[in-house]
Amino acid sequence: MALIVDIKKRLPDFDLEMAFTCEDGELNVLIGPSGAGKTTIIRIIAGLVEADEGHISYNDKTWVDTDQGISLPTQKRRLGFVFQDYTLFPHLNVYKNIAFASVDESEVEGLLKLFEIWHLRDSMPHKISGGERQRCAICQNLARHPQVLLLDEPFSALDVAIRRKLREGLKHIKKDLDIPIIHVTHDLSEALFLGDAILPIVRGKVAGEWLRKHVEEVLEDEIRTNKTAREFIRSSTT
Amino acid sequence: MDWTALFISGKLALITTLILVTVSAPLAYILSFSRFTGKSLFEALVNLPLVLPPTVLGFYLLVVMGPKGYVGSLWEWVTHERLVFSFEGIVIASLVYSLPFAILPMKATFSKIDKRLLESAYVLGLSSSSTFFRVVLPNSIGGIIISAILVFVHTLGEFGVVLMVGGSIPGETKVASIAIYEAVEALRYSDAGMMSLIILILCYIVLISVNLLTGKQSDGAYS
Repeated sequence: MALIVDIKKRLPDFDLEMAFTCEDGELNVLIGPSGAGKTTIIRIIAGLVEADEGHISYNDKTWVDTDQGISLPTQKRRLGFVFQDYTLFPHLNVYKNIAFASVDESEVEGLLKLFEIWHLRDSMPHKISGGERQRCAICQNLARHPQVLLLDEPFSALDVAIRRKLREGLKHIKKDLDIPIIHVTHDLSEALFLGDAILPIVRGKVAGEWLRKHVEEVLEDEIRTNKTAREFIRSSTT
Repeated sequence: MDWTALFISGKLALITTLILVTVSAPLAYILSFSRFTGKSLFEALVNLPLVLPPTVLGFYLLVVMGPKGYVGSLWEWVTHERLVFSFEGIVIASLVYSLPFAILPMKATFSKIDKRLLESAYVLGLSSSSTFFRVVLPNSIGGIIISAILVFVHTLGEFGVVLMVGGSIPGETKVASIAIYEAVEALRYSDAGMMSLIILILCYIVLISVNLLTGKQSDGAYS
């Protein structure tokens, strides 16, 4: 089963055109500079923004078909969407946030333990750290048993150590989930670490050339600033 | 001192507050988050009692709620009783008169809610109405309480609209503000003074409560 996306959307500065397929158990990374249209793509997949033209389907079920006037409401797409800045419900504690839309409340405890936030179950969202909030947001979405998981730069506001830990956690659960995961980021190392497929996007379109240049820039930067990398290059070229 | 008039004022304010808070919450939600044709016209209509002189509003209500008006004749057809110069009549007049005092604070509170919370609720499968009850309302308690307090205190002080629609029938439509006016006219200053003092103290307590709640809201306790 796969999520099939083929959409067009007119944006103020450019036209967005995107087509890709993401199989169950696969993680596709959308990478690109700020304002490239990455978030708009997953918002269209979620049904939070309407596509002008195109088709989105999952498991032979059509979510969007502009020719036939089909646009399944967000609520009926049964997906998970982890926003960049952890939109937990401020009036509910951690446990109730995760149980909020859970399919089976008996799984909440297991999820909290898996993400190492069981001890925070009674805490309110504003009392816990950014990393803990983001883990809570991921749990909240997983508790719904989503068919597709959308992640919009979920780790970008976190410090390096927590980001690394969460990345590893996501990679670990990816196969178990066995659903298509679309992960938006502008972090190349994150994309390379997590992605089964990487879609570089610039001004709403796939831009392989941008990715090649970006990789070169990152490598040059690394060589310039990292002594070990410089020594490695020197030893391997002499 | 006219304790009955004070009791009628309190009863009127309480009933108006309960009805308006219940009706205004979904209305304010729609006005905050929906787009529809004629929205600004509708909003202006809802807020009209804020700027209309009470006697003008009272006059139109008297026309509409009178035996030949649409609302009045419908009321008579259903209940076989007149709507004007009755307690039910002044309740309806108060609902119209105080509507903007219920809508505006609620709308301001709803508008402050992070739109992503609503999106998050939709993604988690909640319908618009479930989102309203499970996300919007619990995060707007402060605004709803402020709205209720303002409606209560505004209704408590009503004079012009109540006098036009309800007249001054003792035990039925004679509210405290009318009783105070009549006491002054009859030179019973001590009665007028005592009733005024009770309303003044009540309003002062209410305003202090609003200030405390507004302060808490800006500190994020209710937002």
